[in-house]
Amino acid sequence: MKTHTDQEIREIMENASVSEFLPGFDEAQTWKEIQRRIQKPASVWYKKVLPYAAVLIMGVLISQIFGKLYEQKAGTVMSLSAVRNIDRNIPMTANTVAEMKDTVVTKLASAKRLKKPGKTILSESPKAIVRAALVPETQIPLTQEPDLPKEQTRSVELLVATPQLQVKHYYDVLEPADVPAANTYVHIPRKRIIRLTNKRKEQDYVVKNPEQFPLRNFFYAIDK
Amino acid sequence: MNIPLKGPLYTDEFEIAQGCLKGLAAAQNALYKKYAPALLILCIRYVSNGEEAREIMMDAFVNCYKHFKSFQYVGEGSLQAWLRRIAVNQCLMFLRKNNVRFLELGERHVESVAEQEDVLAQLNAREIMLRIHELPPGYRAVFNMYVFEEMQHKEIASALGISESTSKTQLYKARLLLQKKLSTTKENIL
Repeated sequence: MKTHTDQEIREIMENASVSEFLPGFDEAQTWKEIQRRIQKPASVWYKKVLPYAAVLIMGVLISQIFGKLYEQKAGTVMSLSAVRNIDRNIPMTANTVAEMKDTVVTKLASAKRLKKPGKTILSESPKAIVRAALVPETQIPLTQEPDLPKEQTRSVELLVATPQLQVKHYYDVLEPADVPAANTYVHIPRKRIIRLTNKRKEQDYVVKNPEQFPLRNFFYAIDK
Repeated sequence: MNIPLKGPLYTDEFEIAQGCLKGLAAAQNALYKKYAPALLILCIRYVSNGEEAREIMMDAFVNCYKHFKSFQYVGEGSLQAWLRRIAVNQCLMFLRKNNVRFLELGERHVESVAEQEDVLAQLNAREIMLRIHELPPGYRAVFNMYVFEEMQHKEIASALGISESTSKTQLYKARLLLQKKLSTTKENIL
């Protein structure tokens, strides 16, 4: 279907000037723009990647800052609840609702443990709540562990500390003489899970994760 | 005292192609100066908007410089043909982006309308361009590819993703529409 007129039209258009169709066409300016586009890929790459990189760096920095803050906070105040089976005559000392809850939890935990064979010493239900606060203090050597009487340390188990828990009666040197006055409270800012069990050997504490829970920083409290 | 010029002058396509292959700015500039006007007119034929056409032409040149290694020189004119094909592809991409659809049409009886086409040949370039711009984008693309790029229906169909018969029908309709418009113009002039 190609006719001679197609050729004529082509010739007319080929001989035409750009100014007939686009009077404002600036050849030099267009060339500059083309040159800029040729050089563009690297800059475009940076422009595309830079925002993501910035966000990533910001994220890492923020996470590090918060991580450090968390570490600091976690190191300053930490609470642990401990349960031990001692004489029936020692009364329950849960005063607050949180303490009551802890008591229930520890009772259940102890009850489970009692079901296990070979634990005849622990056959009695928990009679007292032992609370502890953990404060970083590196001066105390690791070997200096709570020097509690045998009958009191047989079944010591540290349980989960709840947030906002107020720990009553704590002292940092584990001797009866250093027990602080009653009604001393420690504010617990967050939840922290650390367990300390004494299932195999009496008077020996088995710390499952010593890094998280250095014994030298363990402050033991006994409710009288 | 005349200082002898050093290096190629980039007067012919071969020199330009050699220079562009090495990424020389002078060769790239020579290529641009040589073919920019023709490419711009080509782009205007497809997209009608001057500024958009300029953008497409720039993209075509950028693509050409970037992918110059894929060009094979086979004689004078091959560089221009390659560049024109890049520009046409850029125009088609633009049309696709703007949702111009090349609708599949059924095979119709395509008649020759050549006897009245000489009217188009009597117009000047600007008038021809105006008439082409009045065509729907789909018809316009097929018309441009067939008449100006001298592409076969098979090639057009392949480039546009349509069947050969649709290409033929669209060309036929484009010609018919042009005739109608031209006859109206002629009547108005008379």
